[in-house]
Amino acid sequence: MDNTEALKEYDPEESKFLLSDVLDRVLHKGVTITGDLKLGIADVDLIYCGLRVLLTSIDKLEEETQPQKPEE
Amino acid sequence: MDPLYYLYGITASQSEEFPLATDGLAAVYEKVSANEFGQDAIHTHLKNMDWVNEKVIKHQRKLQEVGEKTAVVPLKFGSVFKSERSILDLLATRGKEFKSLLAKFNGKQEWGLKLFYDASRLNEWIELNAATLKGLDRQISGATSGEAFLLKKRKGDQLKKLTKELLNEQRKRVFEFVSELSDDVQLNKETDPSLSGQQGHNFLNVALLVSKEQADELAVYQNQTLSTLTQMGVSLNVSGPWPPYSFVNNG
Repeated sequence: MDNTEALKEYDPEESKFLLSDVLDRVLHKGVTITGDLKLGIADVDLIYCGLRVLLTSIDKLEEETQPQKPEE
Repeated sequence: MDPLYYLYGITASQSEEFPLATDGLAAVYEKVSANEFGQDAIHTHLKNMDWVNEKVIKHQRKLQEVGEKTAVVPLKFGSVFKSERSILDLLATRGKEFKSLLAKFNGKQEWGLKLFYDASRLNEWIELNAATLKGLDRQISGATSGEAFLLKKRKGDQLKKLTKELLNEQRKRVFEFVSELSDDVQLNKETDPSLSGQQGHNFLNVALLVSKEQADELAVYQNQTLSTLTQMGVSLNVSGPWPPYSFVNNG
């Protein structure tokens, strides 16, 4: 087997941004389009609601998996 | 099912790479399946975090790739059209706004800057450096237990006050520097403490619109302030270059 095939190319760009920063920008910022769309404004808002729910569940997951720091 | 058209962003129509164009503006778009982005499908997919992450990252990568070559107006996730015709209609109806944004974004990048503090390290630093707290410590050590109780309470209040003052001073100092440096600054809400995780508490969150040279100055500033801030338990994080997501509302 050719080992160079197995060694996937390392791409420093891959880990350049935190996922939470990417989600924040791509889902909350950028030009909002309304009008003759398959997804009307109501649906675009729904995407946000969906994300809020998702982010809340990530928070919970992180809380559960990380050891709690004692309060000062 | 008929295909749909996912619009990532808008650029100036100088290139053959973006053939869907009208009146100097071109669409950065892609044909997508209604099974993925149709009205019913998307609501199902949005409940799937893996799907959302994958598509959001794809959206970011596409705009990043185009943005490295030319100015681009980023659109919000999920801007999906029924036809190429309706994309052209959008370019025509909002052409003035898009052109004004493209002019603003020409040669510019978005950078994110965040300040975080570690509460226990910051407290330690203040206790070591604040003369008023040291004075109270001396009084406490020579006091009766009743007096000591009140003095300790006073010390706690004083520590809170000094912490607040110090954070606001650092925040103001950094904000003034980036406002001076940048073409435009967008002040964002601080991130949720549970999301910033190990980085500590976020107490400044801004997006900056800068040139390549200004971005270099930002990196120099970050290096210069590193040791002072680290002593206090404060960290300054920068991220970029981003497509100018945060600056689309005031073209």
